[in-house]
Amino acid sequence: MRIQKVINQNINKNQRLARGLEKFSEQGGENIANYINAAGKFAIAPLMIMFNPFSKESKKNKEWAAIKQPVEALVTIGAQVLSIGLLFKGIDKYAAKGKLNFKLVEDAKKDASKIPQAIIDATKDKLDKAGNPLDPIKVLEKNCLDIFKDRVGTILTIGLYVPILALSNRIFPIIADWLIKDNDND
Amino acid sequence: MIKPITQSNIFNNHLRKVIENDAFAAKTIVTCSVMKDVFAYTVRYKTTMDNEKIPEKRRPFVAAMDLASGVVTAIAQIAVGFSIASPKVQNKLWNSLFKNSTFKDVAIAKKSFATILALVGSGVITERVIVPLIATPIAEKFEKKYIKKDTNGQTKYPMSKFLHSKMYRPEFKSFMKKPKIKNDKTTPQSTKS
Repeated sequence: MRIQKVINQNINKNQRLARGLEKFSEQGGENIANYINAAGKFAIAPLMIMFNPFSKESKKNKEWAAIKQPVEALVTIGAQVLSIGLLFKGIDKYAAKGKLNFKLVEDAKKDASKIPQAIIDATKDKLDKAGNPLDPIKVLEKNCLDIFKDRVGTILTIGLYVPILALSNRIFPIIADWLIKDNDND
Repeated sequence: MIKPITQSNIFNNHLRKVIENDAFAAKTIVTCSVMKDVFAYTVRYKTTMDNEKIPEKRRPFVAAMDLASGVVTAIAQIAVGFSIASPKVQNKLWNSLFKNSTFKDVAIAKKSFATILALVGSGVITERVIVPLIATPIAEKFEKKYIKKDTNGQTKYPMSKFLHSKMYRPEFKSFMKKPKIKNDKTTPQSTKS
């Protein structure tokens, strides 16, 4: 009885993980990459700098380098979420007007054998929200659009680093100065 | 400007490969993440060495840490991310975690799993745990060996000549204005006299 309860708990846990995975996939690769990067930078990087057993650097120097991490993570994720959200909305609007046509989709419309096998497998015997059979062309179009958005998002993220880092470089010394009483000579 | 990209064979082959191959999709995201990091750490190093708000005695280590982290991150992220993204590792982990789970769409869930795992492996465990462990002692050695004061007492940073070349100046200057130097009142007086 007890063993069965533990097994059920584990199955439920994994099922929750599976649901989370499906929800996360709706975010798109670029956003996922940015969230994971910011979370790691905010929570783990400062601890690793401060409590690195191999480092002999002075405590104050390490504190300065460590405080930079969460400040940069917050400024970065804030700017990225805002700008990428706006960019993705703009691309969606552009695509809705029919101005974004991928060759792969056009070829698939002309010749169904050119639809990638992964799309055929993903749409086979599946229904959409309205209960109609899933259209492989529409799914392919959405996939292409999502990948396109991810790549453009990466370029935007790279471009944003200059102002983001300049901004966090201005903010973090103020916070570090406020948190660390830097009047010693170590 | 967009049409040549969406109609190009290179981009459409890339789309097909990402759709059909989960490992390739995950590796692409890891590569993009490394590209962003290399660029970000270069900018960080540059802005840190120019940042006069960081006390002079703290700046060399913060800058050395940025540079060492950038180099170690790029190498380690690719090694770990690509290994985790390989189908063998993916299948083993998928089966051990989701054997009894039900999905609306297994294909999408598998693709997300590959991407998230590769990103967590490369972006969190490697970049945030392994890299600081390796990069901190490297930064200390780098600081001692390569960041030195010149005869005028100014700190000399490696690659600063390249990063301050005219090619890069306009973009950085607008975002990182150096504090204005107070005008010496004696100068106008001396010109008047």
